[in-house]
Amino acid sequence: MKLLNRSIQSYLFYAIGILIISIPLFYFVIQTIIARDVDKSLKAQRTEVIARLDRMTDRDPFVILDLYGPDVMLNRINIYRSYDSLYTVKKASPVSIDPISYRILESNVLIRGIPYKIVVQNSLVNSQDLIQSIVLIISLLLLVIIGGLLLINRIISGKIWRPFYQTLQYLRQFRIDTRQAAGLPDTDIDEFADLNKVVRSLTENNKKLYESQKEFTENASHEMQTPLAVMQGKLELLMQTSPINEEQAALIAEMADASQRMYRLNKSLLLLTRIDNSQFTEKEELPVADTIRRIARQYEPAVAEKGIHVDISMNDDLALITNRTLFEILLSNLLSNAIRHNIEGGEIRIRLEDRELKVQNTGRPAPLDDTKVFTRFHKDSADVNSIGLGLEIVRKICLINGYRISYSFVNDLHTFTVAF
Amino acid sequence: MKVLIIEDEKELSKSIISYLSGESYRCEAAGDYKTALDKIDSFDYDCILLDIGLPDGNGLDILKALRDNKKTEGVIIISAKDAIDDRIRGLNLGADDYLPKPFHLPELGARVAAVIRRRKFNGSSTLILNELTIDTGAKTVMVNNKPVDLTRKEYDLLLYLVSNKNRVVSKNAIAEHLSADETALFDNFDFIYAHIKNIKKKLLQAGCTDYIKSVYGMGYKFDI
Repeated sequence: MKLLNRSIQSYLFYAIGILIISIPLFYFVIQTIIARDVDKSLKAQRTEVIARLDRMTDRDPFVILDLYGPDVMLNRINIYRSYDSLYTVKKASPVSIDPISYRILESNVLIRGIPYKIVVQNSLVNSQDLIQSIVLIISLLLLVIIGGLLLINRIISGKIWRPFYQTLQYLRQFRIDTRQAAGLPDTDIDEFADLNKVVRSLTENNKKLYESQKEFTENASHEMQTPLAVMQGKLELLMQTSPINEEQAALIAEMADASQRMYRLNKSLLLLTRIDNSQFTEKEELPVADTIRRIARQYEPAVAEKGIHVDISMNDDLALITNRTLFEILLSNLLSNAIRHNIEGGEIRIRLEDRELKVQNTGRPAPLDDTKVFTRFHKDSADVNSIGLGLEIVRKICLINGYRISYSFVNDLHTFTVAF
Repeated sequence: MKVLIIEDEKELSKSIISYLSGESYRCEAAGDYKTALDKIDSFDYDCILLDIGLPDGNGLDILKALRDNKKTEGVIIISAKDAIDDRIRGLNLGADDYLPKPFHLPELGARVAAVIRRRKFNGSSTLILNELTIDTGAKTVMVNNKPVDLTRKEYDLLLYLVSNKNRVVSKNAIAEHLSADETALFDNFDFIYAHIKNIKKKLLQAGCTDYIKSVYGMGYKFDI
């Protein structure tokens, strides 16, 4: 659940609670107030009627009473007993089909010494309408207020949290080995400004560490070149010495092989650091199918050597804007990989269709561990000449070009797929 | 043939001199920028090996000085920085070749020989080794004036061995030379053996002496 919704949810529960309690409460309070009002006015009317009847001694009370209409009634009673009663009753009305509620005040009174029963009534229709209208208006008002509050809260919160989401986006896109497109947003909210400060220093520190690590690798590879060149030279001079016996020759040859491997390892490391340092920036349009055919031709001797059958099928005249050197290295590495790990008389299939290149080869009849295939120095074969950087280079080239590389094991074929 | 080696790494310089002196080259070494300029001013060379990264100056400036003085020495840049920029700048300034470090000495030997051939004989020199004649211009091989049909790789390999004649050329050096265009090298040397076998067979059939010797497991030697 989003933080934004969580806070709004609490507000919502609170608001609904208030609504549920307040509407009946309002209704009850207003009804009470109005009922009290009606009672007061009934009593006032009774007092006024009695006072009038008392004053006008020369007239028949019933005649005077007619002036008040049907809401005031007077009856003679025999014995005066103190009696006072207020009640509400529903009864038929001359103006409405449905029975109407009336508030009635009944009391026994003495007018000029004669006992009467006086009944004063008041229709409650108007009051009830009033109560209903008031409650309705108040409810509507409450709903509008609460709804408005929620809406405003949502909008403000959305605005307030925006820097947070931007920071999150920044972190999601953060790659230590690529340059960042968007920076961190500026914000005037202290908490987020703090967060951004921490995130910025964290990413910058990591970048710096990574840079220095990269620099170290590059320097180390560079510095290794001279002693390597010296060693290789001396070994080749040693080969020229005579007399030399078979045992010595074998030792020298093995040393030369080791030095050659070290040289290749060094070359691969240098290439990796160069890719990392974006030293291959020149781009040109490359027809993919032609490039694949050309690279494949270079490997014909090696393929023939192992008796491998190569089947190339390309149904895509795709052209990529990319760096020629890197793209050729990508293809070469995939191909030499397919040859290196192949079996005698095996098969290599190269497919190019739908912006996808597939290089498949026979080999060990079991899938490779696809979590480790692209890991540096992970060697799946016992081949001493494999230096374990070829696929790492492939992965790097794919990464900087935005290609997707994947490994799968289909129909007993080790399959590397590059999606351009 | 006089070769000047401008290289600050003494051991490497020594190795190069030692290797090239085995053939008919007379070598001199310059360990820094100043010595190099002095030598270039005072003497003429057939080929100059030039390291770009000198402690007291940039090798490319030496190249510029050479060309400004209308000197026609062949120049091969040897550099630890295999940067494409350096390569292009060097070649634009009139270098004949570019060889990234580390390199195999036979590779250097072959390149020096090629540069001298180009400079001295306008690229179409004919190498004559007794009954064997190699026309590097037409890229043809003849034995007793009869052409021998070699594939491109076989021709390359033969020329490579001849350029380093009387010296052992290691299998690694051959493999790298033959797969110059390829970024990944081949670890399996069987294809070298196959090429050598074919060359030997074709030359023998044409009546040529068997000059190519296998030197234990190390490599091959064109022994004449």
